[in-house]
Amino acid sequence: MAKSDDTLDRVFREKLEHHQETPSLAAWDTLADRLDSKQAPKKASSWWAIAAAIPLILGAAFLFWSTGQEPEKQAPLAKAQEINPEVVTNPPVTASPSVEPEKEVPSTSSVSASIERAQTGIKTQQRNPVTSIAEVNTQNEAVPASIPVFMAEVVPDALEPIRSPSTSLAETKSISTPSTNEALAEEGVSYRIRIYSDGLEKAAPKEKNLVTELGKTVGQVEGLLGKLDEGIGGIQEKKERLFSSLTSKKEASLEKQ
Amino acid sequence: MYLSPQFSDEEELISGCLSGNRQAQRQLYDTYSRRFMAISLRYLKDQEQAEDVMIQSFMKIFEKLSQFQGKGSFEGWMKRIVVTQALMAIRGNRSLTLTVSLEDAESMQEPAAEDLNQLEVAELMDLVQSLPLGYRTVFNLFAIEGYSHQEIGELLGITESTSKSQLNRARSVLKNKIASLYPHKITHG
Repeated sequence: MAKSDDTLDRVFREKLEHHQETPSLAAWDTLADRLDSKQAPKKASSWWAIAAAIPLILGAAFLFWSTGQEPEKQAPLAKAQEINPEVVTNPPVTASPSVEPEKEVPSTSSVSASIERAQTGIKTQQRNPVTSIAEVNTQNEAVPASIPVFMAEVVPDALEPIRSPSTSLAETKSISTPSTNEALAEEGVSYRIRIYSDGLEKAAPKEKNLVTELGKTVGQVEGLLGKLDEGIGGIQEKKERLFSSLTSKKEASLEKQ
Repeated sequence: MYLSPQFSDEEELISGCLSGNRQAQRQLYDTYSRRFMAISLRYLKDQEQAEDVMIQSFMKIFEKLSQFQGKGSFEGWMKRIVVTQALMAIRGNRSLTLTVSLEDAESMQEPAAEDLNQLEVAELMDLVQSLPLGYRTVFNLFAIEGYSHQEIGELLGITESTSKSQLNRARSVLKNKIASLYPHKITHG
């Protein structure tokens, strides 16, 4: 029995040991593909990391530049107009990485106080805005005639968003003497956008993969930039709406005269 | 189709594969893929599965090539990888069922030696593939690859005696099947 077992095993071994079966022609291609994809990722990943870092750096640079430049860009305009709507855009400082720029007026009390001062100090009567504009122009040659009127409107409106146009118009009429301009000028120049942030909160990296982490950070920075743009856009839109409503009113009042 | 070998000896071929030379990899594949395919098919009946095991084996061979010390035969080293890959595929499929049927143990027919020698390779392949998974695996490992029962026990996570009994059942089944191929020469032993 042991002998027959050995014979059996030997027959199978001798005939099958060197047996060959032809694989399909596609088998080599499959193997070559797998070999390629095994060698490729190592090279690709480093390029991917570099590619991911570029928008991150650009994004960070833009964020830096835009927050640094914004007040200076706005300041000359406000200076020329000698009127100081202090609009403080104050994004909430949160721990969460998404910073939503909310427009707030934290210094309401000081600014509104200054406006009251301006308004009381400007009791010297000036019924005609045109004359006031003329006077303004003598003081500020560079300023277009309509702008003081417009900016006078911006002050109250930025602080107290809802005001009947008639009241504000009445007030603008009163703001016109040289003393007014001086008083307002004393209030300082500011059209500031302040952005407070303690940066992106990044606790321990959730993903060990550097590339994924970089990609996420880029996404966050882009989200922040987008929201910043939205905020600035909103402010400019309001400004334009005020401007158009005021010019039409001004025209109406001129026609009356 | 068949490229004239650029790498004249094994050492050259190995170092070519080590440096990731596609020509060398192709030559190694062309030399051994049919043999590995045959091994794979003894463990896994399914042609597609067997081919996948063969491809996986080459991946492993290229991956571990730097670990080949040059001791013993290169082909033997590669064949062990193929067998390991085949066993892994079997385990991945389903748990290795080691069935023992009383029937297999009892009906014992001894085929004549000359009948055994007459068997064609294709017939032998069919016979091996017809075995239940557990029998087939142990028979392949012991009878054809030449592993010891101890090695088989370690590879499959079974005891040596289980390995032995699986082998005996496998032999009985094979003998019965071979005997039934030559009914006129049945001898009772």
